[in-house]
Amino acid sequence: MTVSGAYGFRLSGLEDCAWLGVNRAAHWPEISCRRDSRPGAPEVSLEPAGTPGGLRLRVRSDVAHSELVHPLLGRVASHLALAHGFDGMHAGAVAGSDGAWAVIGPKCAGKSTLLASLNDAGVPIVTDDVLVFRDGVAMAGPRCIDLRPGTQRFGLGVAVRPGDPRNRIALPPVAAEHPLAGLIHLEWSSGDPTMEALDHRDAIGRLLILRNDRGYPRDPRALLDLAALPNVLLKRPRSMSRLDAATAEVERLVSESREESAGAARFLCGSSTA
Amino acid sequence: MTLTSRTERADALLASRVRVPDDVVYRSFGHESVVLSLAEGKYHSVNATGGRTLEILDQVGSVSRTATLLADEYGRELSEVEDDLIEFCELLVDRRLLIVEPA
Repeated sequence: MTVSGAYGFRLSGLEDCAWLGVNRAAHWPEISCRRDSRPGAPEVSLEPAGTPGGLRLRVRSDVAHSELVHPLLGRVASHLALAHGFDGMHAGAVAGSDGAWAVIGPKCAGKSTLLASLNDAGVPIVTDDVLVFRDGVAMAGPRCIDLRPGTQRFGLGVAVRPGDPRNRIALPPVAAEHPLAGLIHLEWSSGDPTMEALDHRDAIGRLLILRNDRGYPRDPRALLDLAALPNVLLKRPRSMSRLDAATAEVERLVSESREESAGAARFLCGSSTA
Repeated sequence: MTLTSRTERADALLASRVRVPDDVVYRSFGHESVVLSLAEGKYHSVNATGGRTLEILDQVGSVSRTATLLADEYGRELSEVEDDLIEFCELLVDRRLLIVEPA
């Protein structure tokens, strides 16, 4: 059954459910949403609801649903998640045979473009911009990707909002939860796309930088748990002409089952003593 | 004189209560453990025995009790384990990965 939700929460009280369909999320806690017409109200705000630990999301009256879905919901997702014992980070994620692979990179690293290409290739997209997880399980995000100009090959989509050059493409509903299988770190390079395994020390260093920049993952133990998963580095050129090759690298990685494929052994973390 | 001083320090440490600081986390990665200090922005690697030792220190909070448990676990003489453990604890304390609680 498909319900309106994202980031580990069902959302009720919205007048529009576009871009919020996730499957098998009936057990997710419910956040009631209501419009806020008070003068000077913030775009979105959280307040305690009636039940212990419950929260209500107030959305200013003039905020469009499209804007709420992204980026506003993503901005409050981490706070919502923390209140419910979740953690999060700035990342996309795709679903593979072993679970979700987080796609990580700094701003303008091409995350959304790569995810749109993977969506075209039939790889389920778990989330685009914000990854919320708990106990090693990733939660599905909104069912859309906002793309910068120059990415018309993924379809025209709809305008994100007046004056914003980005276009939004819709994603199909996806299962609400996926065990985290690994992390894909993105970097630009000048050569052909390459993918290499990172050892856990390199992964920790990269995740620490992410945490210092963004404050997430909040729980340092979660950071070490993420580093213990297979971490890979995907280097590829900025040219759209090489996007398909980069997409194929990721497709191959996420479709491999680590238990069934000996070839995937290269993605297991190495070990050493200091 | 030096020997006496070291023994006193060692005895004091053995009798101490210790704890891992709140901003330090650790995790086993197969044959090594990583100890991450958020305050220092550094991470350290220790071998599997060091990781197990830190885990027991964190759990029981007593250096002497940790020595007894390690001696049982690894089938070694208690005095040998105590010497190694004192050295290891001093290293952890120097790097702010372990706090000696006031008596």
